[in-house]
This record gives sequence, C-alpha cells and structure tokens, in this order.
Amino acid sequence: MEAAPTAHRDEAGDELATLRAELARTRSELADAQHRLLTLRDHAIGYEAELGQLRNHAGPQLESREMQAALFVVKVGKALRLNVVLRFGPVKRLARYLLGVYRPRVG
Amino acid sequence: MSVAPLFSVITPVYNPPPRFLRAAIRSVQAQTFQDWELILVDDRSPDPDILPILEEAARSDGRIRVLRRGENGGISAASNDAVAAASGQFIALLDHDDVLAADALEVMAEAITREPEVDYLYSDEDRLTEGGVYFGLFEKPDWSLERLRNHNYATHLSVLRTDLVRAVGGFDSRYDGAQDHDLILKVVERARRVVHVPKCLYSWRILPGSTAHDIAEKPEAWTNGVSAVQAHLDRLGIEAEVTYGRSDGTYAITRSIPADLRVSIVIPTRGATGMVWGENRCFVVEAVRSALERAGHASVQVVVVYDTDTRPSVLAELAQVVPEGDLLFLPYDEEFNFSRKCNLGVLASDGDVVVLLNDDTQARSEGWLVQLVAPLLERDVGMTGARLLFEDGTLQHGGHVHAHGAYTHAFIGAREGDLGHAACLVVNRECSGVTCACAAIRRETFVEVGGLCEKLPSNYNDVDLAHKVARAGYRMLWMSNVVLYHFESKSRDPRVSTEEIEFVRARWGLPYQAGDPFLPVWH
Repeated sequence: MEAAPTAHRDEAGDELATLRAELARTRSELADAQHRLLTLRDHAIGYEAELGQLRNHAGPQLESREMQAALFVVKVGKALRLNVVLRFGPVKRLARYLLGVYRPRVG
Repeated sequence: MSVAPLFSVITPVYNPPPRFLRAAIRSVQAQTFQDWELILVDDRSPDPDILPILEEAARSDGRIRVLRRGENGGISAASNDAVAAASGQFIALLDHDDVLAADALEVMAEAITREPEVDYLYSDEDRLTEGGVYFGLFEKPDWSLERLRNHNYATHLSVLRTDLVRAVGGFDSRYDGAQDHDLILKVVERARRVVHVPKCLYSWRILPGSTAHDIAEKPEAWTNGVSAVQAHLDRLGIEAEVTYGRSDGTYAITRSIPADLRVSIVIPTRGATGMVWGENRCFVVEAVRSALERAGHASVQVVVVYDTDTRPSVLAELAQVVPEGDLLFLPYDEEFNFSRKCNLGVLASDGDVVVLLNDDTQARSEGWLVQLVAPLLERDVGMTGARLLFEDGTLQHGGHVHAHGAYTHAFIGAREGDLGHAACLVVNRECSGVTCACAAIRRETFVEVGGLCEKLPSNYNDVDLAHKVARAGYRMLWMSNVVLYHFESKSRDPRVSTEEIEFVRARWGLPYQAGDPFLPVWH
C-alpha cells in the first residue's frame, strides 16, 4: 500500500490530538456534572427531610400559640367583664382568626 | 358474636400433660376479646385422659370444637384438619401446652383494624416453666424477612389470614417440627402486609422433650427447618445453599452471585501506616490485598481515592496487588472529606455494585465480598454491612442502632462467641443502618439517594445515608457471616463534631425515642 504523504499524516495527527484533548475535557466536565447532580440530589432529599422535621415541630407549637392567644383574650375579656358575653368557643375562633393573619408560613 | 368469628385458634393435640392442656384451653376461654372459635384436633393421643378433657371443654363452651383424627398423622396433618374446619378470617396458632395472654386476641384485633390489609401478624413472646414461672422475654424486631430466613423468630404468637393459609396449601408434613416456619415463609411470600405487635402475647412452655426446652430434643425440627428455608429461597429464585447456623435453631445461608457481576471497591486513603498485631503495615495495601484474596469473586475493580501527598511507593505497591485493568487511581487534593472522596470514587467506578471500604480494614471471612453483595440482587435490599471486629477480636460493628434519641453500634465490644439477644449476633438480619467502613450498595441506589452527604466530612455520613436509603423504601441488612477486622480510626482522628450531630438531627430528627425497630435489645 502506498504511504500517505507526510503532510497529510501530520494533519491527521494534529486532529487526533485535538479530538483526544476535547474528549478528555468533555469527560472531565461530565464527571463534574455527575458529581454536582449527586450533591444536588442529596441537598434536595435533605431539604425535604428537614422540611418534614420543621412541620413536625411547628404543628404543636402553632397549636400551643393558639391556645395561649385564646387564654389571653379570655383574660382580657374577664378583665373587661365581658366573660358573660364571650364564651370560650367564640373567643377561640376569634383567636384562630387573628392568628391566621399572623401565622408564620412553613414551606 | 358474628356468624364467622374473626379468629380461629387452632391447636393440634398429641399427648400433652393434661394440666397444661387445660391451661392452654383456659387461656383461650379467658380472652378479653370474644369473637373466636377454638379448634382442638386430637391426633390419636395414647393417653386416655386427653380426649375426655377435650370433650368436656367442647361441652362447656359452644365456641370450642373437637376433631379426632382416624389415625395419628403428625402435627401438620392435625393442623391441616383444623385449617380445613376453621371458619374465622384469621388463624391463630396455639400449641397444646402453651398459653395466650388474656388480651392476645384483643390486641391482634386492634392491629387488624388499624391495618386492614394485613395478612400475617406476630407478637413478642416469653417462656413458661412447668412451675408457672415466666421468663426469657423475647422483644422482637419489626418485620425482618432476612432474619426470618435465618431463624424462626416470629413464630409465637402467629396470626395468619385463613384464605392465604389455604391458598399456599397449609402445613406441609415434610417439614414437621419446622412446619410453622415453612407455613410462615410461604405466607409472607404472598402477604400484602406483615405486622409486628410489640407486646408479649404468648408464653411458650418449657417441658423436657419440647423444642422450647432444647432443639436437640427434636433434631428433625432443625433439619426440616433447613429444608424449609431452602425451599423458600428456591421458590424465590435466590441462588443459595442453606445449612445449620452457628446457634441452635438458626440457619446459615450462603448465596451466589453471577460471575459477570462487576463489583467496585471504593477505598479512600492517604497511605497511612501503623502497628497492627505488633507489626507495622501500610493499611490500604493490606486492606486491598486481603479484600481481593478472600473476595471469592473475580470481576472486582479497585478504585483508590488517594490524597495527593500519598507516598508513590504505596501506589506502586497497590499496582502490584491489583490485576492490571482492575485498578483505578483517583487523586484527591482537597481538604479531607470522606463523603466527597467516596462520591468521586463511586462516580468514577464501573461496577454494578459498589463496596465502600475503609483503608484500615482486613477481610477475614472467605467469600466476604460475595456474601456482602449477593443480597443486593433482591431489589428491595438497599444496602448491606458487615460484622467488623476490633484488633482484639471484639465486636466493633453489629449494625447501627437508632434508639433513645441517639445513634450507636449494636453490641459494641461483644466477644466472638456472644450470641446477642435471641441470637441476633449470629444471624443475618435487617437493621436501621450500617457503617460505611464496609458497606455494599447498588450503584443506581447510591445515585438515587444522592450518595454520601458532603456536609458531613468525617462522621455520621453513614447514618445520613442509611436514613436516605430507608426513606427510599429499601431494606438494609447486617451480614453476620461477612467478617472483617476494622482497626478503627488508626488512620484518622476519630472525634465527632457537634456540628455533624446537629446536622443529622436537623435533617432527620431525634432517632426513635422508644427503641430501635430492628434491635429492641442491643447491648
């Protein structure tokens, strides 16, 4: 078989080297991207789990805040001699309404 | 009472001491829950006192029925007669000399109401002497399939959905002595839901000649148990051989994996050296050497994630130990972060399964890699861990325990012969988590759960990983038959930082306040 001219051989060699460098760079970028994806997935699962914890904690705390607010309104009512008018049920509903306005949003 | 009772208590009877038979019957009549029937099947007891006791019980209580076999047929045959006659939705198994707690059926009925799809329930149990002394409370793990394969931990009190018992063909006399184990295995293969009731509802009478006294009294029970577990694995297509376990009544399962299953061992290192058994060693070299020598598997890739200041001679030695083409060196030049090193190693590996391995380990059991990896062929198993021993042979890792607001290793410091509570140290079993000093996980599972959390550079990353694997719905197994030494923290600082603990607690909350679901007793 006839040997390829030297110029062509050099040109093909350069092209191969360029392709190899590009392949190495792409592989490196792919590895970085895979690693980023992995850590992002961990963060997403972690945040979701953390959110679950916050919800677990926030539930009873909000209940407790509601009750405290209701008792406070009852005390105020009594001080104002309104306890005959304001029964606990309506007071609690009022407190819930007021708290609904100020309730911190979770998630 | 409804026409069909909720429970059919079935009791095959063959020559029990009469007073214990009466006690067994009385324990059913004393139930706080009334919707039951008791089916007593006399398997031609030679003792002439037995039949009158049964007939008297039936006369005195309309819920008690007595069947008498034409000829002695053994425990499975007698039990099957009872199953055929049962009209209850659930069958409760009661041996002829044991007793139920007064609220046994009430508690089971509550559990069924909570979990309408349940097909099999079991409770905790204790033992009862001839003199009436209760002892040996067995606080059982929550549903643990692998453990059930290794010993019949569930058996008393067992409550099974009647239709399912009939669908699987009932009891099989080929497994007499272990006929209940065989039945439970067949039922759980098809069960929609299995429930553990964490309350002692059954007392197993210890009598000379009974299995409760000593399984050596009925050697065929153990032999037939081996066959029953083997048949179960065969039905599921699990390639394994079952033999006698290390403790009476336990079973050893030796699994196989396909020869072409590619396994990657990912081992982070900085090439540390230290003294072990009076000799200086380079940890990573000995870890890799022993791991490959005892792997029992050829298609193994070793990914060494090394700090860039590792001595070149260490890498050269590793190249001598690992066959060419199976070794990948991955340089790491950042601040120490075990999680990050493992993540990079796993991503660079080519295995279907990865084994995370500390460099301060040494494989001890032959075929350790195969036995560690093989359970992962079952798709619902997410991660497996090993029995790790300190340099002096005491236990370093028997699985993680998540209990009483903290994380710890089960039975740490136990001696080699220790069986643990109810043989838990000599059987493979489900657990809440395993240490990443030696853990196997499918590559796809590792990626699915986001690998190891890099915000936990040194400690608790394995606890976090276990939480993620469990959250994804997988079982985790501690393999008692996979044994390695772990010269823990000889190659790094073992201190745990407050930040790491706080991080894990913020993510997952405080671990179970009541106790670990898989190891209620762990020290």
